Amino acid sequence: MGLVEIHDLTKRYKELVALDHFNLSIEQGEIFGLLGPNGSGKTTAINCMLQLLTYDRGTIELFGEPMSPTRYDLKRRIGIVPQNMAVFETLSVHENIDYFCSLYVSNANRRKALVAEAIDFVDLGDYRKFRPRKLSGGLARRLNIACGIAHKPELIFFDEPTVAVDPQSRNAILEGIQRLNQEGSTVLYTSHYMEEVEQICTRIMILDHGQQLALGTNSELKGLVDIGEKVEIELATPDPSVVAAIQALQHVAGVSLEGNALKLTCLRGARGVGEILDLLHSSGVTYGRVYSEPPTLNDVFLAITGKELRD
Amino acid sequence: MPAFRTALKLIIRHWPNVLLYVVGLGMLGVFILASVNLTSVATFSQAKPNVAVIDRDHSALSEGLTDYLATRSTPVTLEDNTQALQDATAKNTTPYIVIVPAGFGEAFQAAVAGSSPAPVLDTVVNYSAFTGQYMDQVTNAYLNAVRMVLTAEPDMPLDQALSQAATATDQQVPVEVVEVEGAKSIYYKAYFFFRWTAYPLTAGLMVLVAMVFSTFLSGEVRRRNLSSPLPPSRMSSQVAIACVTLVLFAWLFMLLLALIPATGGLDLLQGEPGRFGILALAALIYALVPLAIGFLVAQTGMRSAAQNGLANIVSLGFAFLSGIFMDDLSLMGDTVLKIAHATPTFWFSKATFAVQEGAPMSTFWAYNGVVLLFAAAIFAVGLMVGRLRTQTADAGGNLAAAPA
Amino acid sequence: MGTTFLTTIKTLVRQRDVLLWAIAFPLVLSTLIYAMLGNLDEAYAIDPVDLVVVDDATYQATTGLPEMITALSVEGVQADGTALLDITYVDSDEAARQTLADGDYVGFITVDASGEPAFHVDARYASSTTGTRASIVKIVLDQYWQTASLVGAMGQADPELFSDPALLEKLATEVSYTQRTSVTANPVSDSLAYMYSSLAFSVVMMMTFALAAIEDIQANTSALGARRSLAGQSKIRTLAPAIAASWTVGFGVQLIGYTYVKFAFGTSFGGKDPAVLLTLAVGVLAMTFTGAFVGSLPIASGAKSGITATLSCFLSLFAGLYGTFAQDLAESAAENAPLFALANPARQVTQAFHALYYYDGYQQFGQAILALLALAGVFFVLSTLMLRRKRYASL
Repeated sequence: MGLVEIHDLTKRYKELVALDHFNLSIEQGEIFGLLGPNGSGKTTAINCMLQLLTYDRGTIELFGEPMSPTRYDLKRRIGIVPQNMAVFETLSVHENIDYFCSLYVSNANRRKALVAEAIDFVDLGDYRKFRPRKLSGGLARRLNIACGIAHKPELIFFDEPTVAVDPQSRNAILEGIQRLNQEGSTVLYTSHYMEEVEQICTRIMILDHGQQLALGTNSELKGLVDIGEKVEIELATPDPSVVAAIQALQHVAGVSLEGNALKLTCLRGARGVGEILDLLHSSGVTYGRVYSEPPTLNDVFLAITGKELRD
Repeated sequence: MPAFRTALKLIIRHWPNVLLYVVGLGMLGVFILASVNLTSVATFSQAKPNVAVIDRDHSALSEGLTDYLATRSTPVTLEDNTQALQDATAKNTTPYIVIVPAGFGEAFQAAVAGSSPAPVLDTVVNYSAFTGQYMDQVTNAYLNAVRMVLTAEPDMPLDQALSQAATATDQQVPVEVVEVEGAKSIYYKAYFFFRWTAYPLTAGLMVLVAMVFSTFLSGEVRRRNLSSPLPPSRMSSQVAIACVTLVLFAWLFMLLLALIPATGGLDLLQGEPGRFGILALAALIYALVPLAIGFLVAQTGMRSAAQNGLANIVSLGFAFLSGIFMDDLSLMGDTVLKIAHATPTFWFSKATFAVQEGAPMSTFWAYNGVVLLFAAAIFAVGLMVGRLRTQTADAGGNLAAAPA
Repeated sequence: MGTTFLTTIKTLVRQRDVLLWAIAFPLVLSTLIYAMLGNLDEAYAIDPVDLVVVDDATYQATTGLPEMITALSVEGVQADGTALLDITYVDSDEAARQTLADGDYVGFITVDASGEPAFHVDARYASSTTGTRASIVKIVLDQYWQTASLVGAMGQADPELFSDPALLEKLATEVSYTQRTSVTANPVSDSLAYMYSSLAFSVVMMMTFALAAIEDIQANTSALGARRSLAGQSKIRTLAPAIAASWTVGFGVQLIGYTYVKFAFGTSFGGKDPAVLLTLAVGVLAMTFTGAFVGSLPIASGAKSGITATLSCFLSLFAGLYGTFAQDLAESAAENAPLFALANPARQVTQAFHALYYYDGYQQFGQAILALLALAGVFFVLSTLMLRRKRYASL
């Protein structure tokens, strides 16, 4: 029995179906990624799980118990980090974290320690007296996170926590999530940035239009598409004739020439870019730089839906 | 009580609003009262308005009149030109001006003899019509006395007649000042001040309560709050308790102001502590009304600048309609009076008048009951609006339909 | 610059709460003031004084007093006259005191054995500030008693006097020697003062627009302001049209208010409309610069609207808005602190209207306009200092 069990969840806004017979199962100790473009239903799913929204059918169980708006005992074990800043503008960093922690932890001494830990965790020690308005985007996000995790919840919902955040803060956030996971929290992480999801999530679900499209670990998902690697070679001089030759190779899925750039996808298998380069060499085609990358989740998404993950 | 503490913090952080509305408007009332001089009188002092006589006649009669008027008024010297006269009237410095036309003395004597109609003096009156009537009476009293003397003794020399008239009009009837049980206008100022407190209380409490509730009810903070193990009802009641604390402080501050000597409240407290107490109680009961209105306003979701604007409109409008800026409700027209009945401040005002005029306590409690009903009704509407908004949001309002 | 001007106008009129604040509030206020105080003139004029009379043997025995009282009262007044008194008759001293306690009467009258009337005044009405009503009763009684004594003295000196009925008739016929006249350009009106001060109140509120406009220009007051500060334009080119736009919107709102007050309530401005428009224009100008100054201050937006509100209320208090008490306060403040009165735009606007209505010439009007222009000048300088292009310690 997973920590989170959702069966057949359906949520409609008039004609629009936000969640369509949605199923989800998260095991304890996972960092579960929910990946999908804008409007795919990620935040709606979280809102339903938190009982902030009514839904038309389906069941939601958290910690093995059916979830309802008044299950405060279950809510006590959950932390949320919403997409937008959810803090009091007129309170300082310390006051904000203390308030939200106090909703979960009534013992003042214990709370004091937890708040101090949380501030250290997000590295806002120098800013405890600052008001949110005075913080840069990245720092403000860290405050947002601290408010959600100070009480050391067992289950944490992160709803797109890295939108509009500088790379340094972004890495700090991702590392922090991994640390929280190591310390025992189960994480549901939603995003439309596949790199992040690939980086930290143990299992990933791709969804679109409220429906699950694919589910599995990073490698399992990439196994869904028949791509080995994607290659791009800079030719010294563009030579259209070489395109046909490469196309003829068995392990090449598709090839195109754009200006000086030769772009092709190889199927999965032992043969790869090496064969291509040999062919070019033997054809007398000189080339410069060679780029090769393994398939991404975007490719998975593209293969399944026919469109890009990020619009 | 996490929400309670934080709500209080929010209120304290908005101290400029507290300062401007509660303190500022409260002090406004103190200023007004400080400028009014109402002392308790045991003797009757006849009104002595500023009066000017423009004598274009320079006859014995006009001089006699001028001398007589000086004993019954505060004489003011004005130059005889349009500018000075307009100034005196427009600036309200001289509410009564008598212009004695040239030849008045002669025409007067001729009229007494019966050979021509009586001449008239021009009088210029400013605002208070009573002053005009009063001084008219005074002027006519003197002139008629002269007339009577000359009618009875046509051959009497004029100056003798004038002095006889002056002697006669010097007489005054005896006056007794009656202290009436239950009618305490001596504490007039205190009553005015207690009524005035409705204005700062309405404006200040509306703004602050609306601010606190809307901060807890708005957007993402609300989501965090709802996801927490603190039940929404408990959270709301904690916020409400913080608001009630604010109400108490604001009310206590008003009482403090009432004890400033200028407002006359100290006199009332020393003279009639019981009345002071029930007036204070009425003010506290009334303070629940802006508490409820602030709650309702927060439920509607309007922005802070709009909340401020609404608070000012409502507080000033209610204040005017309830007649707390005037001392006489009867000066309001009938239609306005009817509309006023629909405002809670009006009933608070009536409650204070009931105390002032010594009406039975049952009347006082009845009026306070109406005020409480208003507060309860407004609060109920607020709950309803809140529920409607939540349902709408749940059914796909902005927050939930945000890009996921 | 033209674009900035038009854009500022658009942003100002599209902010619903600013409009609510700046338009609805003054209109509601003037309506209220009119409803409450508009018929003040009539209210003051025709209210008879409530009086109790002890109608016993001694009262009836006096010569002429009952007849005089009746002639002045509501029951006995002539069709074309106004009643001075509203009499309630009782039959004893105790009854009179009881009636006084139960109701709202100025006092009661008794007559002693010698025929001399006495006036027993309710303590409430005994001071000279609230006692004008009582004073009227007293003067009526004084006049009666003086006449009665005079006639009595004349009769003693010459007993033949009373044998001539024609003479007695002449003696008894009272003559009115006074008539009302006006020295001002227009007749005196108490309620006008309140309508003028409510208009003045709304003029002060016009600082709201400049406040909003400037907040969007200053780097330290909004993100939008920061963006605009970076534009390739001199500060003047950004500010001047914004100020001009604020003034335009403010003046437009005042035109609405003025038209409303003039036509809905028939408020008279002495028929000098161009001068009234000038007053409004200059008043709005002064408040526009004041608003620009307040808007440039680095404090919270909510606090600024609070400042606008309280400032308007406070200044209007000293322009006499809140009732008779406020009128007195305004006058005494003008006497004791003339500089404050000069610096109070609400008062100067009220004074300007006042001057147009009561005076023939424009001297007092000119003084008020100059005061407003001076105020505009002062805040122009202050806001220029605040709004210079500058760098900040923190944003």
